[in-house]
Order: sequence, then structure tokens, then C-alpha cells
Amino acid sequence: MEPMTIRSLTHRLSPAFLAALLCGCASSVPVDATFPKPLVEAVPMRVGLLFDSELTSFEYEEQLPQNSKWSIQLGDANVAMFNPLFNSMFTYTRSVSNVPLEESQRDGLDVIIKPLVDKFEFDVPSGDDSKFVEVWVRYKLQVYEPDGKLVLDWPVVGYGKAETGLLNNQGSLHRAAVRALREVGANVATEFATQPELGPWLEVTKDATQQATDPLPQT
Amino acid sequence: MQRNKLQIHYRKLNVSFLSVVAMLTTGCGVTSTMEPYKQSEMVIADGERVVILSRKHHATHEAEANITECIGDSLASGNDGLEVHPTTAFEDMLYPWFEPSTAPLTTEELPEVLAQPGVSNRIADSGVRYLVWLDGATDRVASGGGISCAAGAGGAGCLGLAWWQTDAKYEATIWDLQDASSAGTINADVTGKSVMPAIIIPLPFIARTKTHACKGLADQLKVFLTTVEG
Repeated sequence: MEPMTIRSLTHRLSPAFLAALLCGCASSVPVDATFPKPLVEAVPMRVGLLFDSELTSFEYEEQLPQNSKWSIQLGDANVAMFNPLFNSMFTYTRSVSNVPLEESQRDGLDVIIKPLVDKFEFDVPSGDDSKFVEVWVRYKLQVYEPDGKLVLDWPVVGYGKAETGLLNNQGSLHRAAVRALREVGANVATEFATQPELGPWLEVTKDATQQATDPLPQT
Repeated sequence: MQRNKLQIHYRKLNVSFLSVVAMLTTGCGVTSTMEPYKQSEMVIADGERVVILSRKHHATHEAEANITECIGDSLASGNDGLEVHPTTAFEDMLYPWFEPSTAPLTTEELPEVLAQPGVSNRIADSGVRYLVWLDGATDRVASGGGISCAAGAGGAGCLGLAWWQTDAKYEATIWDLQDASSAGTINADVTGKSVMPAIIIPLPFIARTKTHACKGLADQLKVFLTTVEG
């Protein structure tokens, strides 16, 4: 038997290997975080928010090659990110449970936004190839008129990375996921109002707001 | 006679021990270069604060969180310590304008961010005047040697010598948020060589490259922000 060199020893005892050893070959990462309110001017729109169970209980599982099985629970973080985001972005928001809405439930709402996780990917390095854990996530923001007509189906991506941990990468994956979600929030907050599909529609609400704030003509 | 032989033996051991120590102290060394370049005559005033943010938009590298923290702590420490605003609190306070995809990359892009509703007011309220962008990383660039370990019924042990070299390359770019201009840059290049001899037990002599880079950058930043010459 050949003597073991330090390099081969450290390679074999890589953080991911030790993590797998310590955690019984399964790593669970509940992403639990608070997100800041965005510092943006509120768009004058009355918005219904539809967070279905697919979003609020989202969980991603994957068995990485030469690594352990990972389970990432993103549901709570989705709610924690989207709620303060939309509440700051629009002048009025409230929860709705379905789309289309009955006439009696519309309550002057302009649109209904339904976010969903479209794709989730992550990478945990197993050797010396990288010193970052990475997370990439793509959401779809579906904007409906209250009668159910789809106005916008907008993909928004977020990427986050975090340095690998010494003994386990669960904390690193958590930090990378939070960063990816912050990035999604930043993109939504800064680019929502520039979506061409919403252009004419936003003009209508802007005009209506302008008329409401204009002084009455003198008689 | 017997006593003379023992003395000679003892001296030989002493010389060998000293030569090993000398080899390790010279082998485990850190060389450091700091290059400041100041573009203005600005000096931080009483009540003005500085914040340190790391550049996060590169796919391949990123200044580590612990060096950002280390530089902030070093800047704030001592009798001549500066007022340092916490990094995360600054990013949260101005979210989403200093995230990797939205943060200004140049001072030409800075006015656009400062013009966003509420941004300038929040910065003014926080007292932050200088923003230090930290870019770079500490990486292992070379390694060699080897250590063999074996275990048997009589015991276990290792023999050999391993070494590795780490490079810490960072660039600190200082922005004046009041004037939306660049005040200058400081480049730090620190190289450290670590060795680990093993005679039965491996003994690591690790060069603290990143710590040297942190201390060097913090000292240089303090001079940069408090003197006209920088």
C-alpha cells in the first residue's frame, strides 16, 4: 500500500466529505432570513398578491455526485422576500387566493401578481476546484388582470455565492441562497416598472393618479 | 573525557535545533507591498464615517467577508480610530442599490444611484462620506513537497516536508460620496510561504498572509483618510 500524502489526505477529508460523514449523507438547509424593504418609489397601483403553496412550501432536493443528498427549503424565504418587496413597490397590496377574481372580490385591484419558482440550481464543490458554494434561481412573475388575462410572464434571475465552510457547507449554501434571493428582489424592484408589457398600462394608472392630484379648475 | 563527549554532543544538537528554527523562520515568511495613489487632498472630518464594501460581481473571486470585517475593525481601533459604518447595515439601508447587479461600478455611474429617491438622504443621515470598495482575494498559488505517514502495531508517525505559497492581492478604491468622485486607490500585494515539516508529528508554520494584507491595508487607509498626502 502506498503511503498517503498530505494532499491526498486533505482531498479525501474535504469539507463536503466530512459534512456527509457527520450528517449521515443528507444535508437539510431551511433558508430562513429577513429581507430589507427596498428603497424605491411606490408605483401607483393596487395589487393583489397570490402566493400559492408551491411558492410558500418550495423545497428542492438533489443528490450531488461525490457528495451528499441536499434538501433546500425555500418556502419561508420566498414569503419573507416577496412580502416587504411588493408592499414597498406598490401603493396598495393585499393577498388574494385565486385568479381570476369574482367581480365582487376585485375591490378596485389593478393587477394580481403571482410569483413562482421556475428553476433552482446549486453547486457545492467537492474538491479543490472552487472555494464558493453557488446558488442560481429563476422565478417567474406572472401578472394578471383581475379577470384572469395574463399581462406579463416575466423571468427574473438571481445568483448568489458564498465561501465554503470549514467542516460543513450548509451555512454557505444558506448564505448563497439568501444572496440569490436578494438579487431577485433587487431586479424586481428596479426593473418591474420598465417592462414594456406594462408600459401603456402604467401610463393609465399614472394619468389617473395625476388627475386625482391636479387642482380643480377655477370656475 | 566522558563529560567532554556529552558536551560536544549537546552542542551539536543545539546547533541542529537552531538551524532548523532558522530554516523555518526564513522559510515561513511574508513579503508585502502597498501602493497608495491619492487623487485628491480630502481628509476625513469629525462626524464623517467610512464604510467598506466588497465587490461581488466577479464570477471567479470575491474579497472574503472576514477581511472586510478585519479592515473595518482595524480602522476603528486605537486612539486614532475612525468611525466605521457596519457593512451589512449599509447594504440593507440602501437596498436594492448596492447589490451585485445594481451597485455602481464606476464613479460615472454613482450619480444615477445617488439620484434615486431617498438614497442621498439616507447616506447623509448615516454620516457615511467615504466608501471603500475592496476587490481581490487570497489564493494558494503554489505548493510542493510531501509528507508520508504510516501506522503499524508499534505506533504511527509522519516524515517529510510540505510547503505552500499564498498570495493576497487586493485593491481598495476610495470614493467620496459627497462629491461623487474617486479619492484614490491602494493596491496591496502580500505573499506568504508556509512550511510543514514532519518528524513523527507534522508541525505547521503558517504564514498569515491575509492578516498581513488586512493590517497593511487598514494602516494605509488610515493614513490615506487622515492626511493630505495620503
